[in-house]
Amino acid sequence: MTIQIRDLICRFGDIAALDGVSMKVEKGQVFAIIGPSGSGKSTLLRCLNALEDFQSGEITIDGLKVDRRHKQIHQIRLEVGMVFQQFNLFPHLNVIDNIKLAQMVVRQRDSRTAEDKGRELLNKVGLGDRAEAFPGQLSGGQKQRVAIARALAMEPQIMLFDEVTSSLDPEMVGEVLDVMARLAEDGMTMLVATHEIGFAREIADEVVFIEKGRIVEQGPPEVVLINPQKDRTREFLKSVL
Amino acid sequence: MTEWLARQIVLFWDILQYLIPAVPVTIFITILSFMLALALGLVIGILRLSRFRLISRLAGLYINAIRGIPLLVHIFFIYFGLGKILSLDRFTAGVLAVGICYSAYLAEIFRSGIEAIDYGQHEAAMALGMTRYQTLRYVIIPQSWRIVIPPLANEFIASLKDSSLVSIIGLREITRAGREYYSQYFVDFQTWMAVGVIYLAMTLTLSRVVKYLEKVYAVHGFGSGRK
Repeated sequence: MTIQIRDLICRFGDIAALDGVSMKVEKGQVFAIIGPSGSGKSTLLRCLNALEDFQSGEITIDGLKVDRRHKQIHQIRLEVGMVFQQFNLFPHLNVIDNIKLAQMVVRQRDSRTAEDKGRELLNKVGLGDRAEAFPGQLSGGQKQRVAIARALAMEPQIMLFDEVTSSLDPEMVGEVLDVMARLAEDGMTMLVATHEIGFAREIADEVVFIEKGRIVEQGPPEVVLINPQKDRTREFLKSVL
Repeated sequence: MTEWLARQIVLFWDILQYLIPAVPVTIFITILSFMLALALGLVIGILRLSRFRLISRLAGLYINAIRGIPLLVHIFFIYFGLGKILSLDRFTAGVLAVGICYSAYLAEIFRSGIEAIDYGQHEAAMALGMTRYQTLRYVIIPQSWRIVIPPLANEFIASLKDSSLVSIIGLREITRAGREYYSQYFVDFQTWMAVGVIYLAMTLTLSRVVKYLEKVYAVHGFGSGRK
């Protein structure tokens, strides 16, 4: 399970959201992607499961090309779980049905298997007692943990986290980050777009600083976050810490 | 005075008894044509949102063409025009005309109901590996239902009233029965009042049912239905 990104260019009109990004992520690695708002962090993640179209460059996941017009895109999306800033839980379904739906429809699991899997994951994210609740009855932190469980139920090889704590109240950030940290410990391959520099320092194997669609600096957290080589990185870190 | 009133009540009762056998016909036409309109409308509404320009344009053309023609003309066209070629009976022609006419309105309701769902819902479903069809079927349309139920109910009530127009091709529903009674006994005021009362009773009952449905479909913290 390797993600290979080469010379990725993604434009929205005249603006290049990604302007020649290349990187390689190996199995089990945790990449933290940091940078100012609008720098291209989200776009990068969204290109990885083809929610966003890109104009040139190439992304391969385990040798499979990511192309939203190709049929295998559904196959790739099964291997790439994603958690969104706005949770995007299905509001018409309760928690357990949120987790069961794609398992049954896409993975073709029967209701029982999907339910067992769902309950196991809910316990794992500490929400075993909220299976029957509707999303509208949960706090932001709980919603986000359900969203993580929903993505994990598909047994993806890679997890993408798109600023998942940015719309949470401060006291709920911790519970979500805890779940993510445990996932990283279990060896999940993760790409995390985040503003939580402290969190990035703790769990990331590699930190990527992106600005204006380009990678400014990339390396282990102790270098990029503690002893950055580029002035821009230093300025950015000073502004967020 | 009391004698006059008593006579009126007896007359009114007599008219109602004459009209009531025609009520099931009205209900039947309305339900069948609305089911047709729901099915056609849902398909056209989805096609209207197709990524393929040509398909969405054609669906738009259908909607505008159908909506731009009066129901009465649809009825004439289908019964006297198409009906001649396809040898449609009155009932089929009436149901087809009302159903097709309403499908255009329902298509627009379905379209706006689907568009009202946050795009994040599409993305979440697609990120879980669902196809476009699965996303619509399991995620978007179930949520749209709650949004479209009130306007759909309005259209249903409107179609119940509009079904009176099929009386023109001789289908013996409530309005037609009223005309028959009138031409036999020349009682105009009371007859049409009785016809109106029957329609009113049906539409008021339906409004109640709709209110109840909205409650049933309401989900905590979500949707257009208020608890």
